Amino acid sequence: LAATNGKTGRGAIVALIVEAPYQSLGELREQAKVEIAKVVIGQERAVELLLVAALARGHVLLEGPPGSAKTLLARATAHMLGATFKRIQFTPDTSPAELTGSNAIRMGEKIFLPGAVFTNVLLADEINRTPPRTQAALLEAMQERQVTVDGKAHKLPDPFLVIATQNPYEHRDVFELPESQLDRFLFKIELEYADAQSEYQMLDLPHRGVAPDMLGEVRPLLGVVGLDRARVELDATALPEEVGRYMVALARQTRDLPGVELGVSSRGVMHLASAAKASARLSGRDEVTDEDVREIAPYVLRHRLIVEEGIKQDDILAKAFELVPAPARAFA
Amino acid sequence: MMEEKYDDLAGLRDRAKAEVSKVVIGQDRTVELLLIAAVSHGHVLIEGPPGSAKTLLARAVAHMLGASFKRIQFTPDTTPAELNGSNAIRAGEHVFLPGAVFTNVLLADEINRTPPRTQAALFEPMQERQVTVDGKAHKLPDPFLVIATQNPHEHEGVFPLPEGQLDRFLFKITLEYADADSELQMLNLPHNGIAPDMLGEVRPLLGVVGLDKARQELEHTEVPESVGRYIVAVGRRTRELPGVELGVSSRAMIHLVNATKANARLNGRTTATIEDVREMAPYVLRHRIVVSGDTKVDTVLLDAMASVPTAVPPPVAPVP
Repeated sequence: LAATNGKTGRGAIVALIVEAPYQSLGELREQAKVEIAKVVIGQERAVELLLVAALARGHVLLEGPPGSAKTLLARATAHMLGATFKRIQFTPDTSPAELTGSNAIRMGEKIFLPGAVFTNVLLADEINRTPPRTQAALLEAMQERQVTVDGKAHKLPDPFLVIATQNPYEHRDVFELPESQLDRFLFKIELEYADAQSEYQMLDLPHRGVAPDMLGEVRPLLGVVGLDRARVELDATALPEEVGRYMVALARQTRDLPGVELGVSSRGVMHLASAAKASARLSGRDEVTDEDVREIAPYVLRHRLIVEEGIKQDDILAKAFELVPAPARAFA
Repeated sequence: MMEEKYDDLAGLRDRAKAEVSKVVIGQDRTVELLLIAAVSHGHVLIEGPPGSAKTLLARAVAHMLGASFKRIQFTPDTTPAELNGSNAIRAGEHVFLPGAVFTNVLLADEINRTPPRTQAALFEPMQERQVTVDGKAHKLPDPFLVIATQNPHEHEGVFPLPEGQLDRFLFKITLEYADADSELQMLNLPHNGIAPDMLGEVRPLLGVVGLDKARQELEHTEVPESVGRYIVAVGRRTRELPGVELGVSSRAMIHLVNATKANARLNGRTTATIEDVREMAPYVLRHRIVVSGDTKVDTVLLDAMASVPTAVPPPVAPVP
C-alpha cells in the first residue's frame, strides 16, 4: 500500500509517502469524491472544500451537530491525501502542552515529546470546549507552522492541515472563539445532516457507524509529493486583474454595509484569492473566473463578518454580491 | 550579522519601506513609525481590526532591524510567568526558564484580552527593561521593543488598558485596511496571507550594532529652544482646553521630543523643526488625552496646536 519514509528529525516526523499519480487536478476532485464516498455519504461539497483547503494551505473549521460524520470526514480526507492523521479531543482541561509537546528527561537524556500537532492532518475536535490559552496554542501552530517549547522552535510537518470542529448546540462550558481568531480559518463549513436518500444509503455502509475502520477502502490519491506538485500547479494559476478587483471590491463593500460591525479583512481577501485559485484548478481551468469567486466566497467570508444582532451574515454577503458589479467576461 | 550597511538614517527610511513592502503592502506610514520607535527606545500600541497585517508588520520590522522576535498571544488565562519566566529544577539544577519578554522585538497580541495583572507584568519590563522573578532581577536584551496590539471590535472579555498604562507607549497607531489598489497587489503576494514565511525576502538593514549607531546619531540631533518650548506649550494647552479630563503628561512631552528628533533624522536633517512636532504629535499624544462627553481627542489636539503660536516666547515672568 504505502512506503513509509522514516524521515525522523528532531520532531520525529514520519511522513507517509504514497505513489498514486493523478493525471490532473480536474480529475482529482472527482476521484476524491468517489474515494471518500466509500465511507462518508452525502457530503460531497465538504469533501471538495477540504481538498481545496489542503491545496491552498488553509485550515478549516467544521461546524455541525454530533453524528454528522465530522471525524470520519477528516480521517478519510487525511487518508485520501495519503497523509498522517492525529485527533485531539478538546476538553475544558486540555493543556497547551498536549498540543505542542513538552521536554522530558528519559534515561538521563533530554528529549522532546512531540504533541498532537506533529502530524499532517490534525482533527481538533470541539475546539470551543477548551479555554482560550489552549485555543491560542493551536492557532499559533496553525499560523506559524512551528511550535516553541521552552524557548526552542520545532517545525511542523508540511503539509499541516487543521480541521477544527465545533458543535453549535453545545451550551455548557463553551469558550467561543474570538472573532480575531476565526479570521485565521480559510473556510468555515456548516455541515448539515445528509439528505434522506443518503441517510438511507448509509444504512448499508459496512462500518455501520460503529467501527469506521473501513479506511483501507479509501485509496490514497496524493501523498506528500503529489500535494507538492499540485501546489506548484496551483501557484501557476492566473488571476486576471478584473477578477482580483472584483474580490477586493466585494470585501470593501462588506465593510461599508449597514448592520456590519466588522467586514472582511485584507487577510480575508487574500484567503479568498487562494481558495478561488484552487477551486479553478479543481474545475480543470488555469484561470480564475468570477464564477469561482461566487462559488467559494460564502465558505471563505461568512465567518469573518461580525454583524449586529438580528442580522444574518448570509444576507450581508448576498447584498454585497448584489451591489458589486461582476466583471465583464472576456470571451476568447 | 548579515545586515546591509546604511549611510545615514535618512536613506534608512526609504530602504526600510522598500524591504518591508516585500511582504506587507500599503502600510508605509506604520513602517516609518515603527522605525522611529525602534531608534528612540519607545514601545508601540497598534490598534486595528483582525487581518490587517499587524503580526506580519511586527515580524517584518523585527527582521528588517536584524533583531530577534517573539510573539505572545494574550488570552484571559495568560499568566504573568509566561511573559517573565519562571524558576524550575531540571536534573537537580536550579534553572531560569526565560519567558516571552527575552527577545528584541516582542509582539504582544491582543493585550486587552488579558486581565490587569498580566498586563501589568508587561509594563514592568517595558519600563525597567528587566524582570524580577522570585526576587532575582534578569536584564532584558537591548534593544527591547514591545509592539502591543489591540482589537477595537472585540466585545467580550475585554480589559481596556488604564490611562496610566497607555501613557507608557510612545505611539499609538490606528491601523486601517490598506487602500483598494494595495489590497489588489496583496493577492499576488507569494505568501497568500496563509504561510507568511517569506521573511527571507526582507533584507536585515540594521542589526544590533547598527541600531546603536543610529541611536547615537539621534542623540546628536539638535532641538532649538523654540521647538522645545512649542512642545511644552502644546502639551500644557491640552490640559486646559474645555472637555478635557486629563491632558498630556510630562512623560508625554519627553516622548514627543524623542519622536521629533527621530523624525528629523529620518528626513535627513540634524535639527528638529516645528513641522516634525506637528507630524509626530497625533501618534504620540492622541492616546494620552482623556476627554469627557462628546469632545473628540483629535479636535483637542488640533485646537491645542492651533492656539499655540509657532514661535513661543519664553515666559515673561519667571516660573515660581
